[in-house]
Amino acid sequence: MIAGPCLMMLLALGCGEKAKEARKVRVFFVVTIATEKGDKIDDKLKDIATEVQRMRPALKGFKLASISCKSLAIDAADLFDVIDEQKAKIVIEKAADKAGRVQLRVKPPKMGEITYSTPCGKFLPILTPIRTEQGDQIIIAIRVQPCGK
Amino acid sequence: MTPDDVDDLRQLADLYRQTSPPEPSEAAWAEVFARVPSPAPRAPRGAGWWGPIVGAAALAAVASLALLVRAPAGPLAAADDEGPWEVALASEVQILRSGTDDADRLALGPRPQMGEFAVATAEEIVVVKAEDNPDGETTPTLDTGGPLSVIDWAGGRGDPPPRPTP
Repeated sequence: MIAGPCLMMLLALGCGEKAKEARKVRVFFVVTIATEKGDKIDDKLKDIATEVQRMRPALKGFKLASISCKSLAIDAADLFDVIDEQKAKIVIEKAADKAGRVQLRVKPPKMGEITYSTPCGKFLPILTPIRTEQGDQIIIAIRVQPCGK
Repeated sequence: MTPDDVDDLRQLADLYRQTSPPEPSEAAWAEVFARVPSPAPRAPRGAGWWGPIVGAAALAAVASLALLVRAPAGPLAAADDEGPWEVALASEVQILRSGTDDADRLALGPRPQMGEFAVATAEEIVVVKAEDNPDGETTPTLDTGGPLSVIDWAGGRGDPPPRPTP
């Protein structure tokens, strides 16, 4: 007698949890170091290097430093490590729409906040004013996925 | 017990005293002690014949205990074997920091974590709002001068920030 309502309640809870999970967006956060010393460029960064060098010709070397990855619920802010205890704050404002675009708000350290929409699965590089102790410049890149799948 | 029984016991005691041999004299005891060899020197502690046996027994006990702890016993194994192990969803795992070389080795979700490093084109990014940094004029700006999108801390116009003093 009691099993029926309990089962229904458990199913409802499970479905609710799945719906909640579906609204989460996975955020990839990559920290890259660009340097004027050396000209080695990681294979994955060749496209970014070309674009950044157009703006900052002195930067010759590009190296991946670290990645982090978190699933964020809508409107829930989270912090991502950049370097030396400096963090970037990211908030997913809108989950993926029918076109697969996600709107997010990013506050990199020592920069103003920027809100933008992006297609899923592609990185947006952000050239920051942060430098390492060696004087190298920090670039962060953000990607969201899997966008509702 | 009757009076006759008491008399019998008295007579038995008298007979016992009369027939018992006398105690040996001190000289007799000295002679006996002289014939007893002096005791052998005592073996060092722990090096007796039982030492290896006790050691072996202790080792066997430790090995048995280790096997019991590491290998699940029958009933426990059956309890753990009720179904496939639960695996965390990719959305349940937070990678706080990872080396980029290892990122694609993480089995999270259907795709490699890093995979292709595809960058959004200039048309694909839409900036909704950009705010000044309250600590300085470092307004993020989307650079649209090239085929790919890059957000610059000063729109590419400003000089690089000063290097930190060592």
